[in-house]
Amino acid sequence: MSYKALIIGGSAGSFQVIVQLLSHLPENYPLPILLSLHRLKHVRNGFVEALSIKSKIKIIEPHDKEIIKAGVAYLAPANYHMLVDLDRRISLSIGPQVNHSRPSIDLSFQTAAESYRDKLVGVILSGANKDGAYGLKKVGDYGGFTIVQDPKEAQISTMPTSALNLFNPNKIFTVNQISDFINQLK
Amino acid sequence: MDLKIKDVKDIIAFVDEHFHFDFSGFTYVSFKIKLEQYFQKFQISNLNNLFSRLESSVLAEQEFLTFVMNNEVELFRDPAFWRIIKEEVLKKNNLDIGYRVCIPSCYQGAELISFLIIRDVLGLTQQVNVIYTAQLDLLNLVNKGFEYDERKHNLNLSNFKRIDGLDLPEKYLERKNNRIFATSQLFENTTFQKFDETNELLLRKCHLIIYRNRLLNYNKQYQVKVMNNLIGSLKPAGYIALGVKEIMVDDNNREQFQVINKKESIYKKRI
Repeated sequence: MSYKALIIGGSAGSFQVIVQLLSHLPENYPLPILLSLHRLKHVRNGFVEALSIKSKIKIIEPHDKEIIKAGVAYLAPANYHMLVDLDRRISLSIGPQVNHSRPSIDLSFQTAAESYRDKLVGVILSGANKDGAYGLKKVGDYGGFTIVQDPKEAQISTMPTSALNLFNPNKIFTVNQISDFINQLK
Repeated sequence: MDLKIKDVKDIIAFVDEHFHFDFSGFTYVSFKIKLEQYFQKFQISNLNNLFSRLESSVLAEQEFLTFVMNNEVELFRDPAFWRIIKEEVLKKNNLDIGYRVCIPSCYQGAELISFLIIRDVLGLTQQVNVIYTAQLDLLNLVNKGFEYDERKHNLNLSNFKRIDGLDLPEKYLERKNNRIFATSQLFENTTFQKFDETNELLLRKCHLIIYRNRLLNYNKQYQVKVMNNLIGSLKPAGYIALGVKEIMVDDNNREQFQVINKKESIYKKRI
């Protein structure tokens, strides 16, 4: 099966995992990566730089209506929802918080699922609230491939557990397994 | 309810036909999300229920339009932006009486109130005339205030403090019936005007237009249309402020400006 995009959601306890996952991906990674991560709304600087230290992949905070390209990681900007439009452009929004969050992982996953359908891989990592569970389920509903970080391994298990309470993902993986899996995507 | 493309198109056609309000230039995905949130909030299960509801009263029409269009979330969003407006635009320009500032698509008024407070803090209320606008009169919700939420209000206060380290003076905001209102003194030399920036120019050109995070609502074609109208409404050497993640998508639009602050998306129209 070939895929067109990878989307990863995480909150508290996911930062080191994301750094690890990105550090193992090659510079010419064949898919775009959408990163919907909870973050402090008033801290606009430093996150991209911190994620980029060990990453060979270019990481950016996209502008509104930016075209999504393979080999680039798009980090949801602070205090904006990051949505994916049907023409596969980033669409930013300052709509109300969802699950007390902006960016909301649910909204990123839900809209990416509608755009990429069965060509999307969705991954939910450690986090302290339920945001992302519904969005990952939507990825599965549209035929995409769904992965939940093993709650036993997650630093904070609320987010992975919420997803598992809602539906059965394709895989429950440790971080190393997630890394191996996303590395072989094409 | 999961809306399909056809559902969204049907809603756009209904609103256009009944309320003469055109959503066809809105960004599909964010408009759809807003619609789904509206369906969920008011427990609407299908399109016919929505249409019956919208036809039932002007209040329902207003509630729908404001729900879908209003995105204003906090006072002094992006404190660094307000610091630059204060220091680099308002203070440095030795403003004379008659300096005109326009804040289009201003519904609940978070941007307006933020600006009015900055204007008062600088003692520029007499010099700076503020016009705030909405596409329809019924979208002017400024006098209805904001619902009080302690967390959000603390965010407003901390945003203000981040501008230059000062506390927000209590005289500017008052709490009544669990809502927050801007005090009436702030609205001196301030007027509301109906204005549709997707279709027209302002009658009198402005020195500064604050249009942050409004372009996000529109698709690329409409963004160009809106920008052309805003540029035409701006005096030579006037300033325009967009949201920090918004850009002018059209080369011709960009060429008409010099960048004052790229990070905060503040531009000055070339003479």
